[in-house]
Amino acid sequence: MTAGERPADASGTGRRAGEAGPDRSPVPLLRLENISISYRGHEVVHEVSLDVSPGEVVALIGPSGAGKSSLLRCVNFLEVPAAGTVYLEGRPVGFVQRRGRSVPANATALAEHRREVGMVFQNFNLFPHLTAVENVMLAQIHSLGRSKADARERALKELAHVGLASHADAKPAKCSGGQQQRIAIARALAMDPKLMLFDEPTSALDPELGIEVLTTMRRLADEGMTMIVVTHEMHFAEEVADRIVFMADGRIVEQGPARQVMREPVHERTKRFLAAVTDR
Amino acid sequence: MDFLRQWQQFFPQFLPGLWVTLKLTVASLVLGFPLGAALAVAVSSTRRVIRWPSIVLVELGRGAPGLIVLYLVYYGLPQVGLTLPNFLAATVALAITTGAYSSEIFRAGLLAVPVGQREASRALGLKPFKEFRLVVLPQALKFVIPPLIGFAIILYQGTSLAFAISTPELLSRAYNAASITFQFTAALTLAGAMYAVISLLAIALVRTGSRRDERP
Amino acid sequence: MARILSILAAGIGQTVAITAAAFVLGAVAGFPLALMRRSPYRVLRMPAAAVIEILRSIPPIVWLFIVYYGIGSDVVKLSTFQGAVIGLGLIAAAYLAEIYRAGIDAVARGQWEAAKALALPRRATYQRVILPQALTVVTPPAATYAIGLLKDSAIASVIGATDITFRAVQETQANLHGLSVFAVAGLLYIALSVPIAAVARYTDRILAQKVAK
Repeated sequence: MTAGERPADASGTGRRAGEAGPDRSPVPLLRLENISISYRGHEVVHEVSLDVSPGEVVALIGPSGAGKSSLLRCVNFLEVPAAGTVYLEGRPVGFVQRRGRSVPANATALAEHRREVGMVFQNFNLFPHLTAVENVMLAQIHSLGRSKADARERALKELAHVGLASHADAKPAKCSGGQQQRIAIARALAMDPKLMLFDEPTSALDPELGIEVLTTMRRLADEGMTMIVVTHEMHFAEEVADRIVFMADGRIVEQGPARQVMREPVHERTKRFLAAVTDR
Repeated sequence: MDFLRQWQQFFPQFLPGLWVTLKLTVASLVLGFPLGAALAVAVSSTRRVIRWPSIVLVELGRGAPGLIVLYLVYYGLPQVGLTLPNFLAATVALAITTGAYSSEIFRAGLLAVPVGQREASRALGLKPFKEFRLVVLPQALKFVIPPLIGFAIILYQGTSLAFAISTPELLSRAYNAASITFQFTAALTLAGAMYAVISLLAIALVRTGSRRDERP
Repeated sequence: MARILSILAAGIGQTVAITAAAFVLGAVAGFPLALMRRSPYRVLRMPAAAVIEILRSIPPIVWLFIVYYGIGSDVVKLSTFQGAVIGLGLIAAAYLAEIYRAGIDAVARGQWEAAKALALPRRATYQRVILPQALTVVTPPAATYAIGLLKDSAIASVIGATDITFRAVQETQANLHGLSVFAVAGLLYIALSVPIAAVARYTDRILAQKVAK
């Protein structure tokens, strides 16, 4: 490890002393501890630790192949870590104790966990056979067990929240990419998640459509939602995120308050990356 | 116009045969498609006792000629003490063929549902069975229906194999009428036309149907 | 088992000969049919489309009967082998014509446009530019069709061609052990299709290299 690297330690977020940030409760909402992820024998994330406090917005940035998306997907176990532990509100998830040994949780236990974590995908992954409102209702009914009427009421409320009340009965194919992504956000919000994950939510969109999604996300952040956002939108990261985490080659290279990482990066690797993606 | 008069004469005699052909088609599909759906799941089962027999059934059903499968059921099963009348034997054999071929269609349909759909379902906390029933299956059905209809048309033609075990279907009727009257060309071309007209009508129907689906 | 195999093996020659002859007939006859199907002239395009549709919408066994019993008794006497080859060959022509057509269509539009921009005559465009590329696209589906044809050739036994299936039926009627006989027959057909698949893979690879170079 070189001097500039600032791996997160178990006690906090790896910020330097004296830095201001959102209020910190003693137990972080999410804690990733020494997470390693392998893909076909190739390690894409190497012993990464990260804490996220309630209400915090964390932007994960870095070159492609850095392991950002893998790390994000591991939070709700779409990617199963090869090593390490994920804690939500202090409880380890993804593994259960059986006969004194830790074994991978079954689908039911994972479903319990995933209900508490909302996720927004790069390609929206709306259900094409369902209308917008049905997309938002489906998991409320079949995952949370809400009544159809309640689910519908809530779905319409969430769609209105993202500015798409008028599109409730449209199939995804009839909506623009930006609208589809906002429906996907509404779908995740209707589950009352404790934490929202965004995996490059604007990468598949034209810039002008990306803006409407980013605006929705900014409002969500202002309302106090805890968010982890993998993004290439440096402007959004600087403006909206409380903290920027820069990853490269499966490791966290540098992290800190958004403005500081953007304006005065410490590590050489960060400087090179930022110089390449911004005009600064 | 001798030919047309002969066709006119034969036509009413062939209708009962066409009826048997249609019954054979429907019966084989009704048994064969569920078998195919089950095989599609079974061939990727983690349990060997389920996986291997279904792989053998699919590979034999697709690899061996339909006529051989038909003979295997009709002439083969008596060897183990099970003698089926010809219509039933034809139905069983064609259902096996249908199951073997359609299992590949079902499998492709399931695979055609993008991975992201399963991921989104999981991210929303849906359990595997609900994920399958509410998200994967409805989308897979959309993929499999056109090729299944295509297969149904092929099977309709394939029922003519049942001639070989003396099932009184369309071709048998035509052949019998021809061997009595010695008007082979007239009788057989009429049978051919009856197969063709129904096949082409079905194809045309599917085309207009799918075009309507594509319209926004 | 060995006895059954030796009885059925006597029919391999006939099965392979019918399949090969019908395939060659179809491969040759299918070519003009494909070109007509793609012709800019309606008078060529429409009849070709009609012939292909009709050939494909009547069951193979019915075609065999029309050729063998119909033409064979009304026009010119045919042997069972000739009847089977002509009947199956006609159908093969229709299917292979469609495979050729798809192959030609698959060659990128840019290739046609480039040939046009170079003022290459139509014949040279086909011969030098389109067909060599189409051939690679055509080989796999044509091989798949050949395997289908091998299986379809079993119906030649119904008009009395002495192929594998014919021998199997004969043997079954003599001794009551149909299950074993037809199981072996089925495996024999599967075994015969293996070399076709291998040849297809091989030619596909050779052609792909040729085009790539």
